Amino acid sequence: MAGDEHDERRRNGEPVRAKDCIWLILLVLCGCGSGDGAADVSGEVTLDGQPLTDGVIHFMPVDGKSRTASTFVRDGHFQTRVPLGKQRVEISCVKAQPLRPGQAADSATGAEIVPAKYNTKSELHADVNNGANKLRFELSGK
Amino acid sequence: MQRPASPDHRGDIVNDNGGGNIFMTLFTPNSGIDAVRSQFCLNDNPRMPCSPAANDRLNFAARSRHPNGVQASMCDGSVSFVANNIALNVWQAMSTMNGGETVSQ
Repeated sequence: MAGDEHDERRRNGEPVRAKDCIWLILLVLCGCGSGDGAADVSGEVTLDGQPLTDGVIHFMPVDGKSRTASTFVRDGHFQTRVPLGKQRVEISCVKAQPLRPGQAADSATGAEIVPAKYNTKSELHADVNNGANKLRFELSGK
Repeated sequence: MQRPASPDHRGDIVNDNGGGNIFMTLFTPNSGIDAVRSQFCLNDNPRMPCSPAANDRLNFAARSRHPNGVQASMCDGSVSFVANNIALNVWQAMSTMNGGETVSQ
């Protein structure tokens, strides 16, 4: 096999060929991760002044020309990579409700505690730029 | 093959419950956090995060174990590989009926 022959030459102390170097360079370039058109976004979410304990945050491109990004909000903090550009932001926190007696498990639902103006009818936006983006969302439960 | 014990039915083939054999295009592939019925949201697989759905607003993104995209079957029976970084507007247009758009692959 070609691979065995290759290894054989290595062991015999033959120099690394130019072709091998090119593969190595390509691998290194692929590893940089800066060419994905996205940036690090982190920040805080409060609801009525208290950190949002357990929720989700979504970033949807306003122009529709990139992918979406979502992550969990834990103890008021979130961190993810988001495509560059203007994003519609949706923040949600749903509390699971216990099943009522006799209710089928597959009909279980939850209650949203974040007002619709921050999720289904969101008025929140964020501009994501190159570099580290720090965002802070102070939500009101009313 | 033994059926996994998890009650999370997303990805099931023979299951018409939401998220079984269908997906939605609110989020691009392998993105988003699915909104599932609270009893089924275990978050035991980091590749398919979920949160409980509010008032039955269920939502399921297309998901895969491929590193860069998903294989999506179309209503004409064809199968296309779609990259995770597809533009949201293209992805959503593909999921409608009469747009007439062509998508390069």
